[in-house]
Amino acid sequence: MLHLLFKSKAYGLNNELIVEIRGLSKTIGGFPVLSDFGMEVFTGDICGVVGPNDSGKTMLFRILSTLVYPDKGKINIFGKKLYKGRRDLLKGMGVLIDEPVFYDHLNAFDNLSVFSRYFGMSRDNDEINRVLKLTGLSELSETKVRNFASGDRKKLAIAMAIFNNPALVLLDEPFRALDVKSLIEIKKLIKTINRERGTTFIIASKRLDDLEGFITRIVLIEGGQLIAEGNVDELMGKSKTGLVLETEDDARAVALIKESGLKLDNIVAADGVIRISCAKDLIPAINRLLVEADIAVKMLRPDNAISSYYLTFTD
Amino acid sequence: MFTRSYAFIALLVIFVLMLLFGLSFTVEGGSYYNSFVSTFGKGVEFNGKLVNGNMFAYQLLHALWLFVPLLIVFVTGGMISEEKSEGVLRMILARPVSKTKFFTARFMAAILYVFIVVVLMAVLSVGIGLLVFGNGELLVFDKGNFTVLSPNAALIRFAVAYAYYTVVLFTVASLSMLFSVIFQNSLKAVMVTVSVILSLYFITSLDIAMFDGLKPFLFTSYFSTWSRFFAVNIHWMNFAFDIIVLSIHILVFYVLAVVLFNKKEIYN
Repeated sequence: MLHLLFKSKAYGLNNELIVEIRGLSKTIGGFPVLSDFGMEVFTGDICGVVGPNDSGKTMLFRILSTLVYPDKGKINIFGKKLYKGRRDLLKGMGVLIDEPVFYDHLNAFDNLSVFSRYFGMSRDNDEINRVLKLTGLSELSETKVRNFASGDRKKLAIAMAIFNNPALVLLDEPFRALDVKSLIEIKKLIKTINRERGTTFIIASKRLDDLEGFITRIVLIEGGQLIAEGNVDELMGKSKTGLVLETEDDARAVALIKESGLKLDNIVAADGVIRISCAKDLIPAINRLLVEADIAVKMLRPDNAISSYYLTFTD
Repeated sequence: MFTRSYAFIALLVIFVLMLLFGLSFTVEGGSYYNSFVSTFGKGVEFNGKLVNGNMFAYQLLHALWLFVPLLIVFVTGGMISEEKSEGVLRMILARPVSKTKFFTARFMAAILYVFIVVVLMAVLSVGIGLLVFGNGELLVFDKGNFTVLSPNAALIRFAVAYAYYTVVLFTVASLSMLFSVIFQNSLKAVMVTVSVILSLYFITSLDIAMFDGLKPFLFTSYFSTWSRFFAVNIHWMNFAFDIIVLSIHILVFYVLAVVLFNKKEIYN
């Protein structure tokens, strides 16, 4: 009954708290993987959990999907404690953690059919076909999964995650190792499902680029701790903008900008570009500084607000 | 499990062993029984066909009874740990699946596999034996006692012996499943199970008084007791006790495995 409640609640809801985490900690072999972590996600959000390798993103997802038990902390999903009525909660959730695993000797349709039994459903051909159509896999429904390209495997994994219309979907690095075309298709798919079904997504990624212009809420995690979180709209208002530069002499350019006394949040030179997090009105001043110092500027463009927001917290 | 190639490889191994034994029985069976008969000197005379299908089936069971449990371990020891290391467990248990029901389904699959192995062994050994070597009385010599069983009586004794042996193998499979839950990889689970079985069997084989009190409660003590079904008189109460002890082993291993499986964290 609880999962039917989740299904009906998935559509057109007001901004209700769907995931609430407080003081979450997990230690493995004496090493704190998550330390006093907390976050909130609201219905209809596409929430990006961003952090570098070993920041605790995957452990967070394993705990939310009940594969791993936390050492301490409070986790409420759909207003219920996570480990009370585990199966009922999981009926309202779809999960993709690490690389997807399928029965490679079966085709896409049969994989979903076997999978549907884990929901205690008898084979629901309509739902299977609906999900395959939504994920763009209708033409591959009879193809054995071992012959799928990596992008199609990811789509099938997402099909499994959204099967049975869950209210909340957790996707751990769904864009990893995807080509550009597949990346665009999957992002479009997630947005479509979010818009049409009102499904809330929590997506982990170590690459901000994958989530730019796509997520509505961001959670920054590093070293197992919450660095910052908030709605992207609110943060873009709060945050300063960023700037990306390519010059003929990055080292000199960085030294000059730092000595100029301009009020910058951060300046980082790496991989042949200089990234600056600063107020928008400083951009002309920076440009003038470089021109007057006879440092040739090969490229200058505003950086994405989320990237620059991330830079203000990481150094 | 039944889509895993190693399940069929184990069946193939049993079949090949049976064929090899059949070949050796064909070539050497006669001379073995001639030398056996000659030990009794001129005072005892055997008439009839000693080397027959029932004899073949009996000697085959004698040859295989210790190997089959090891093959069962190789197949069932990897059931849970292999799914863990492949990531299948991660995919399934992040869904609204009861962990107890999931494990029980795998456990029942292991039990079914054991049952299939035993039925195949019984049917092939007796069936092929009777087809190739013909029917005849079964002569059993054990601990100084002769038993001569008519062909029909032999068939019934085989059925009961194999049924008993099945319970022994169920116990082995359930221990193997327990270690499959405990250990992350199949190789470790199989090695530990085999080590436990061999160690306990070693203890049950030792003729040392200090272990006598322990032996009735070790499941390895019942590995070879199927042969008592071929004695003149069958002590059914003893066998009832054996079945109870083995059933308790199976229950304890199963419950422990379920409890540990429910507590297990999935990192793969």
